[in-house]
Amino acid sequence: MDNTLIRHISALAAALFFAPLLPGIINKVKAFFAGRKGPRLIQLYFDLAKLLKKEVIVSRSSGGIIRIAPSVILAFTITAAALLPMGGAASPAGFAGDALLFFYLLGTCRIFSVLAAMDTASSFEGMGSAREVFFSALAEVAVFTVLAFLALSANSLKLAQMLCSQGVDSWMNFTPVLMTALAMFLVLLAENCRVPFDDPETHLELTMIHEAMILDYSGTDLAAILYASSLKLWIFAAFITSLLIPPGVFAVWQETALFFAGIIAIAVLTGIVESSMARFRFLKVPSLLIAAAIMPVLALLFVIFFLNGGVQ
Amino acid sequence: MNTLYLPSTLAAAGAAAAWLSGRWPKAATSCGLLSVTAGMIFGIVDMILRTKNGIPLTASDIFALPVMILTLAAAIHSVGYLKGHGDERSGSYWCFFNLTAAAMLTVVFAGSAYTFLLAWEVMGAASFALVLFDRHNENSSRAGWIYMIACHAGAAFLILLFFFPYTPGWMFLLALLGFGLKIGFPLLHVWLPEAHPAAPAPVSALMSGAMIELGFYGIFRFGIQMTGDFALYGWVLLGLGMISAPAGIIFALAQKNLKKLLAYSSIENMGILSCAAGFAFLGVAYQLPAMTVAGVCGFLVHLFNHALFKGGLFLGAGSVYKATGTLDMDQMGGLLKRMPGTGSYFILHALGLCGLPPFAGFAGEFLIYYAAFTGLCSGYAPLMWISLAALVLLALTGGLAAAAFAKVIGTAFCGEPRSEAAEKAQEVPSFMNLVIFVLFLTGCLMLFLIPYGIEKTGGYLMPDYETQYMELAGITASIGAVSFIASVLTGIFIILRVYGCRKQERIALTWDCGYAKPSAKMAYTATSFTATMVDFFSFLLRPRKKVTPPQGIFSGTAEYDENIEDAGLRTWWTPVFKFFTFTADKIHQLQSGSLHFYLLVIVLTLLGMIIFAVKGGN
Repeated sequence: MDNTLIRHISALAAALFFAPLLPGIINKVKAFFAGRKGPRLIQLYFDLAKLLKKEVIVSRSSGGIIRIAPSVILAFTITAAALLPMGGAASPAGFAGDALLFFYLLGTCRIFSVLAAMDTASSFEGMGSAREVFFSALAEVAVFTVLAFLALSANSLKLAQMLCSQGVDSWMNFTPVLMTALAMFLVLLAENCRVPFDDPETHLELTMIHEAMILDYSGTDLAAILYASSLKLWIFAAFITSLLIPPGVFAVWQETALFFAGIIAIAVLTGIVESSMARFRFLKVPSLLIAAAIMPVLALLFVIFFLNGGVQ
Repeated sequence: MNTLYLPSTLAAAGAAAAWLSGRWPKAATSCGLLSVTAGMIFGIVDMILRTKNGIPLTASDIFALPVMILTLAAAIHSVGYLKGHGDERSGSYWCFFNLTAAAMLTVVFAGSAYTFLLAWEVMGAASFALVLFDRHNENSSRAGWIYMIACHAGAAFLILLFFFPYTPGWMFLLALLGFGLKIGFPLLHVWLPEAHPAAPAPVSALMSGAMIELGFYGIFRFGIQMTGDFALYGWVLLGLGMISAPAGIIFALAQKNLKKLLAYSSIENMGILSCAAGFAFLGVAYQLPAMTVAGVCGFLVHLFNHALFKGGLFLGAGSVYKATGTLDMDQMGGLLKRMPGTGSYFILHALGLCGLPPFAGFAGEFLIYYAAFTGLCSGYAPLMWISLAALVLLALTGGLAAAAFAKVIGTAFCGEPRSEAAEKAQEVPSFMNLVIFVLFLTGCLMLFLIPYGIEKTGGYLMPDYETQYMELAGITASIGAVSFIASVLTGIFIILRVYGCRKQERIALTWDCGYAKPSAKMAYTATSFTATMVDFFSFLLRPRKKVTPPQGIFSGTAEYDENIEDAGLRTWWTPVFKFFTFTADKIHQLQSGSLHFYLLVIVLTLLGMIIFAVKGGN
């Protein structure tokens, strides 16, 4: 018991400390594919340190939401991270139903970033917000079908059981879990504003979603937002990795090592996806999100009809 | 005399006093306000004392409590709202306001079906008068008449329900029709988005936050029989909710009238409540106590949340209307800066209603999701599929609700003003904001009272399911704890930021690609914010667009207008009424004025009757 607590807290501390590495990894992979040298792996740490020293410029139009939004986003992302099982260790704050709270905490972050963006009266930020609320409503459907699959196959609503007790011992068992993980990967790309949903690197604000919404942050505020985004990427990657690691097969140290390797692998995969395809047209994005929502349902049908032999 | 009736009696007495003193508006206001606040405070205190003495709260009490809290807030807010908005007619306002409040409480505490029906009718009639109160509003008479027709159609079904004995199935159907007209079930909802925006804001708050919820009370009390088929009740309520919730919020999303948006959001929330009730009944039918308990608790928590948060939102909309004189969100903008109190409380209420943590709204939605997940994992085939469908639709509803309120806050309260009225908006008197804030605090206090409430009411409502409700009490306590931690963490970060950036914060123009003078014309309006979503859901919304694209190099004017008609009105009621008018016109031709023709009709009728009598005799 105590052992789990220590493992979880140290894994959480590692997440908080190493999260800014993930964008660095993605950028390195992209630079590799483009034949460039690319920025340093730890570039984001330097950026954060620099931003923390700079002054904050607040929009004249703002009614004040833009001042508190970074704090809310940072605090709620950290709380969500604390609910997630890390490296096979369940969260001490976990309870039956924490999966819902986990995603709703991230939902609060999202609405605050949208409101802060609208608060600046900028045309680009309005554009980004309008897209964000639409796509995230559809992504929420995908999240819930993922949760439905996990809850059904683990017969629990507790994240620790939903993620760390999926039977992945045979290919028959593994296929539906893999489909769900794939759907979750699409949600990761959508929620973290990566290609093909959004292009974080573009130089044209017209084509952005998330980056358009944070145009007016600066200094400490921008640092908080950038850090929270990298942490969000980390917790989505941790979600998928925990799902794919088979329970009770490995020793604790192996499990922990696999967990971190998995997170890095997902960052690399994101980089590969980003290097190998272009952003979708915005009107096509809903189709992709609906596809992501349908995959876990197919996985669910697969489990029910092929593995459990139907229902009563 | 029974203390249960004292609040409604006091309010009714106040109604009479306000009517009699109508000639002196100030006297009428004090009569009405004092009696209704005294009555409501008495009712709330009485309830607290009874709980303290160990007398469990009844189902009636649970429905009455949000009514009392909301009436109290709405009454105080009315004083400010009426100032300069028809205060010479204060007498009639307070008369009907108090009468509505008294009738709502009598409905809940009625001992017999007759009292109930009488109070129900008074409630409808008194609120009808209030809908008509704002006579400068050109829509209010149309809205008033639609509301009147809906009330009477509902009452007709209720009379059938009360005075003729039927089988449980028929009683349920009649209750669904009669009370469903109040709740706003699909197709029966058309009066809601008409009447709620037309009424004065405190009345809309009362109607949208409390009155429509009483429809559920009616269904449970008169439509549900213990001998009835619980599976049928569950399927029907769940099915209705699964239509109402997403459809309601999709229509809310497309509105640009603030109060109309809130009214559609009420339809959505009634759909969510209906889903919760459906899960509770299905839990009984399939013998899944965990699902029943989660459904019942989710229903009650969401009932409270909706009453307090939606009530607060309507009051806030009233303050905005008072300050700007418009309800069109495309004409607002930048109100948070000009009305910081109203703006921030409105935002808090909206986040609460969306079901986002750390506010209590999340606990209600959570319990309903919990019931759905229990159904999903139950292993019974039809229940699993319907639970999965309900989960998907509720998730979509939740996401779109966040989008709808992001639109309201983002375009009405954030950014730069889009009209002169918004530019010159002045903060309303602070007592009006205070009541909205108190409503919000009550709602948030709920988050910490929910575990306790589940424990207490669970023992009374569902004594056999102790393990299940104790489990839920534990879970909701965990939600409260995590939400509290998240809030404290936010507080710490805000303090750090305030102290960290105190010296190095600078106010400047919005960057916006380097324009020197950004104006509200460049920002997204309420209509453009949701334009993509409206297009996506155009199969349901069928927007009628009027587009004048900009022309030439130095384009002068360009226009984009979107008109969205209610789907129920468009697909069902308009054709139905057209058919009636058409048939009536045709029948009207018989009335030609020629005596010979009338005699012929009489003879033909007699002949028909004789044939009928002879045939029937055999």
